[in-house]
Amino acid sequence: MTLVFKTYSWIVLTLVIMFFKGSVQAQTLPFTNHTEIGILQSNQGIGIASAFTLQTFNGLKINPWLNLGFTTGIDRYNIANILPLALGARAYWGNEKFLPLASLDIGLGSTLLEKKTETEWHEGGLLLNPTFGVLMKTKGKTKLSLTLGYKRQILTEYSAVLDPQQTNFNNSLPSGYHSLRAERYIFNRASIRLGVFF
Amino acid sequence: MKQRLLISKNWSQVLTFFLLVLGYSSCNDQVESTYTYHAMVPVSMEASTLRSMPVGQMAPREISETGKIYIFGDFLFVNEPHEGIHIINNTNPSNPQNISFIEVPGTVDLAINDNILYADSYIDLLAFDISNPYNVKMVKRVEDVFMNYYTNPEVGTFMYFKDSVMTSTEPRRNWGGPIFWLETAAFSNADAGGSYGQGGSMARFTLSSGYLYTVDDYDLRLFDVSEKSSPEFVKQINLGWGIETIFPFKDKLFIGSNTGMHIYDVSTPSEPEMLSVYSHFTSCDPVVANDDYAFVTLRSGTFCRQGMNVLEVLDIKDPSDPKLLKSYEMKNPHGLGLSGYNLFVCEGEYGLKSFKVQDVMNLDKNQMQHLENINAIDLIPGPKSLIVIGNDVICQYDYSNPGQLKLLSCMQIEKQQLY
Repeated sequence: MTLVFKTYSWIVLTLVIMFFKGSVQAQTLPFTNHTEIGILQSNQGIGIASAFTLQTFNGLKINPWLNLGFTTGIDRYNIANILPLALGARAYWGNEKFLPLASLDIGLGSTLLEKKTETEWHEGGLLLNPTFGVLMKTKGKTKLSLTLGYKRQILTEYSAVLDPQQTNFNNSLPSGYHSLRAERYIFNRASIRLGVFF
Repeated sequence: MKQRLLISKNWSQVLTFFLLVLGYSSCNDQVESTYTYHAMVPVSMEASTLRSMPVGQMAPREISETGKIYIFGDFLFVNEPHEGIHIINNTNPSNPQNISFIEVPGTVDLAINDNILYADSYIDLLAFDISNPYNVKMVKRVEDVFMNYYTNPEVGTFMYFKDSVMTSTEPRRNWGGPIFWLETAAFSNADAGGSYGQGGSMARFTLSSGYLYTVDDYDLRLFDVSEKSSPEFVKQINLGWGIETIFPFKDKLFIGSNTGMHIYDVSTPSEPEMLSVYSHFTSCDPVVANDDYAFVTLRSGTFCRQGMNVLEVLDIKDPSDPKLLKSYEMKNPHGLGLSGYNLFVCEGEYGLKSFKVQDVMNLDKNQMQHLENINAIDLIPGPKSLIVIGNDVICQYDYSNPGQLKLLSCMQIEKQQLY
């Protein structure tokens, strides 16, 4: 499980590094930022049904309607705080005061912010967050955004009972553990966010 | 006007989307619980079924779990609990070769007497001719000797506890699902802990003066093996409970139990005579001894409740009256081994320690080495090398200089995926 997670992490990190390396070389492309604040809401949530979310997208405007970059921030689920590490895309088009905005973030939710002990730990997982919304032009360069979307986040919570005497072991239970409980949460949430885009 | 229309068109799109999102019924969190735990699972079997199961030599296979280890000549015998015995050619300790596997259902222990290997198979004792380790043959099956397994001797059914890793998975459910399941799981946890205590019910074997002695939880059993290929059950002696290990030294047997150490005189091998019982707090305790002293490790663990982690030195000059001389604080001591004046103690995940034991009152000042990079469970100071059994390795060290162990080789036990 960890191995798979680590592999994914490396792939995402490598892509991000490659992307930014490329972007440094292509200095002519304008930098864009989309910072949002909002909630992740479910009809029937586990525990508290809404989670606070803050995220920031940093990217480059690669053509008149598409921005590609990297998204991070914090999602405060009641189970754990998740640090999203995702590749992001933002697209908008038109010249009106209100422009349609579509975005997509795909990556991993990391549990770096959570305390890890020998008997309790968390493991993040895949995150997927497509949204759709509107951008409102203001007098300055900044635009305001309102987006609605769907966010899927996988998170596993482990709690274990140690047994130092347990030296025989098995694929599913590490040595030194008497038992291990894994709760694999799949958060299916509606994301509702307000933000600024420039 | 046109612009207004456009805007309202945009807004209607947004509104539709918004409704879609709210109407999206899968905006429910889901949770999937997996509970993995160790448990001793009772398995019932008929004696006739056991006796029809294949027994004997098979192709070598990977070692997936280690049990007791036995050295005989240039060969190493590794018991894989309940499955069989791996034969390792250890002519060159730097490069041990896994050469074959003897399938023995229900085995937990073994002893070798002059090319005859004795192994238990639940209720029976089996003897194998290993004079050619590449061609092992079963020579005898002594039936119905480990009667403690029997649940119904008339019908011929017995029960054993299988050390199992159980996994229960509650499929994905939405919130509002059966919360009581969690309580059920917690209960099964307690259950597992309780029955786990059966884990110590492993027979232990040793050979001394033409007799094979075995211990299980309660009894010491004697087999006359003067006719090597045809062991004969002689009798059994009740020892109490929680018997764990048996260590022969000269004409004495040192039997370690959860509550103390029993010393038996076996100068008349067919009539073991109890000399003394040295009692201590409930702990797990292997024993080794020389002429004057016995070394006992006590460790705590979920099974050995209320235990403590110490190495005790007992004066056994008078075996009928052992005296505690000193106890040394340890971290998590498991097996131990004595080679001349060198004592090696496995400290579980804390490694392996070696001591000079000439001055038993100052062992702590005479620690020679502490190897930390091994999870050491048990060891044998063999003629060629010090064999250390870890939880996922079998390592061999050159101990010609006991204060400076030199790693010769490590055999990995099947790769494990850790969390």
